[in-house]
Amino acid sequence: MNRGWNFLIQSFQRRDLLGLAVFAMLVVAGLAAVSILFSQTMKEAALKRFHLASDTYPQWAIHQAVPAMYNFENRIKFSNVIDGAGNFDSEEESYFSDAVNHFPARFITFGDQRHAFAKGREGMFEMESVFGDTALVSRWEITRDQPNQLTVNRVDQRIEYRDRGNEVAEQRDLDRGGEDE
Amino acid sequence: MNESLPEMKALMPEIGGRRDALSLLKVVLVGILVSLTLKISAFALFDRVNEALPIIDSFFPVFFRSQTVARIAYLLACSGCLLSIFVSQQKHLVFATLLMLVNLAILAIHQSAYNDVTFMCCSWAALWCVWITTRLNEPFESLFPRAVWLSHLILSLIFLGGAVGKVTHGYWSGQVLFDIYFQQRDFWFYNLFRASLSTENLREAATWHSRMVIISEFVCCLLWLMPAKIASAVAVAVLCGIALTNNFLLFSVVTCLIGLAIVGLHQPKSAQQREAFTD
Repeated sequence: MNRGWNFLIQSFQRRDLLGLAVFAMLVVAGLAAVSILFSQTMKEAALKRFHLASDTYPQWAIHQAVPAMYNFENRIKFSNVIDGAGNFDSEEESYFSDAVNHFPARFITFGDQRHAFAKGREGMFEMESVFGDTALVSRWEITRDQPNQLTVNRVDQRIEYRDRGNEVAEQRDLDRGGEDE
Repeated sequence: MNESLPEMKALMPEIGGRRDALSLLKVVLVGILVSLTLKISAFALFDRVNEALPIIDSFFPVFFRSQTVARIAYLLACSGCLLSIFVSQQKHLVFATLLMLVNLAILAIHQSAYNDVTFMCCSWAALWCVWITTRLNEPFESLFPRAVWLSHLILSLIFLGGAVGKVTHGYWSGQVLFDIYFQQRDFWFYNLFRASLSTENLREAATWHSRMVIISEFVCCLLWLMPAKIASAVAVAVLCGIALTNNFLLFSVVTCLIGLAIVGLHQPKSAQQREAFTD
């Protein structure tokens, strides 16, 4: 603790404003990280961050300063077959399901993995991130509107509150559907 | 007038102290450069895919999904880091480290790179570098303990972010790490587990391994409270352990953090400086 006090006292004495600013940023980021244990709002914000579903891009970008390695229980599903109702056929050849360490949306946004998964074709992608009793489920459709370009369409996004048996006790749709470009 | 001379002398920059401060900075810069260099092949691969088959996600502003922006940011981040290693004038160092920080921050929020925590970790390390470059004229005996503590605070935050998100049933039961690593990951550590344990025991091992990870991350959240040298040694051991037991590619993430941790293992040259660092 002495080291921390010395840092603050010395920084004030030496008018090290940048040092104090970095300290303040670290404290804020630390509080934001811990707050997901106590605040439902922050918990949902952290889950939305993983699904690129924050309310605004600047909000998401600021949230990116908070470390989140190997956070939450994340799973993804992908199929080249798009089903309007959002049902995946696990027998279908292109169907893929897996557990993911973090940032599950990367399977579409990250070039290498998109290439391996989508193989350049359109498809349906679903991700689920669970933290405690709260889950965020997002479904995207990846369409090929131009010959060499894929587009993300968010078709479904919902928060689920689950009981201990992992059953959905309550669900809330998020107003993000149909955000096409 | 003469009585104030020692005080004034204490506030004057010391050549030896500045050299020490520069060596701390260079250690972290080399860590960042190694992290970024280890990313080259992955970056080149996703650059090719993004060029051949771009994806449009309207969540990202056009600037932050442009592959050209990602390329330039990566090159400028590496250039800023490299430049910082070879220059010693303060104004040049401030410019070069700022260049590195801004471009790393762009990569950390760019569509094709945000998921790679290398850039987030490097950004925090780069922020430390920018800070210390602005303090090079400060006496080393006051700068050194502060530089070490700030590096430990950054490392504590990185571990805190990892630990808190694992406070969920899937991690405590070990199911998440069992699914991601124990079942099929082709790496010596997990191959060894699979070769020597039955399926039931493998699942049990995943549970205890997962709990050990959570506990060790929570312990590392307290680096800022530990004695400096112990904190640094613990951080280096845990960070190396993460990469050696999970995936050698993780060295791209942890090397910049190891650089920050090594700051606390620096041996100040004069007796006076050693005395100032006995906390």
